[in-house]
Amino acid sequence: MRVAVIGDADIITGFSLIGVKDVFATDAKQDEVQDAFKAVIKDSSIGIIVISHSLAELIREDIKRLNLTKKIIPVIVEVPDKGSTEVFDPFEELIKKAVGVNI
Amino acid sequence: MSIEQIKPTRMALLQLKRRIQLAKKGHELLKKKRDALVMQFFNLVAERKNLRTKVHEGLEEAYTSLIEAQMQVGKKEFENLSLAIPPTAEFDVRTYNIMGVVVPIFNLRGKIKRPYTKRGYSLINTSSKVDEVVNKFQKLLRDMMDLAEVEEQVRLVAEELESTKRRVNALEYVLLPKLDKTYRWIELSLEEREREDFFRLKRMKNVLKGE
Repeated sequence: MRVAVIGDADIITGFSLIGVKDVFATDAKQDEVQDAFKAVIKDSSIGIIVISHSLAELIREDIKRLNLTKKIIPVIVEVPDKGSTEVFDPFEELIKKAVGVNI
Repeated sequence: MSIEQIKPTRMALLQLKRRIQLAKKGHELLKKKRDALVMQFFNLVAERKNLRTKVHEGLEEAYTSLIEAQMQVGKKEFENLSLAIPPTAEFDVRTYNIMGVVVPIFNLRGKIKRPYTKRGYSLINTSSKVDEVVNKFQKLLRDMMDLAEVEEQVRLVAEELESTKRRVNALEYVLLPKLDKTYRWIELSLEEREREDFFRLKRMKNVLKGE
């Protein structure tokens, strides 16, 4: 299993520097991100997808659809964008729904 | 099973009693499962929070070093460098069972962290800033894998928790009250019939006596 990274040119450079080969540098265009995402989930040897938050927002529907399937992998990890100080939590809603309160 | 389909007989009453017992047992078990899941869930959420902060901080640090290094070495040169790096360690996926929820566990096959001599770029031609970037990204990747594991566990447990909660509530607030209501209805009907029979007997006696 390998890790794939979808993000801007900088994060891609960083990860390829340590030998992550499945990297996809995309601009914030929906079809580009979608293509990269499709290519990644087609590859059954990819277990973890690291994706920038702003790009994940663009393909929210596809991510939701993937999470609805009962397959365990690939697992998606959303990370903050470069330079963004905005604190986000993709799990906040989920946790709220599961236990009824925000923790 | 609605009230209309049940005949108020002793047989139906016995059947219903068994059903209520079964439903109560199921409800008890599901409640226990829900409580166990909630406990697991809270642990996982706390763990996830720690890892999230770690990843966010690591990412910020890594970005900063990256930009510094890019300023020293040059963006283009940097990209060229990254082309020659041998692929990083792969990992295996195993599964683990939390209260009936199958969750993934990632096992690294090798090491992400590499000694300086095995990183695939020339130490002589590059700046120490590059080493720093590599160090930080290696640590980041490790943390991200842990985060991926825990987040997926949180997600799956949350889903299971939701459906368990729904089942518990359905039993508690819909099925059990309905069964209880039906049970009482049958009981009342049977009693009513008994009284009718009793009255009929009395009446017959009086009628016969009056002749």
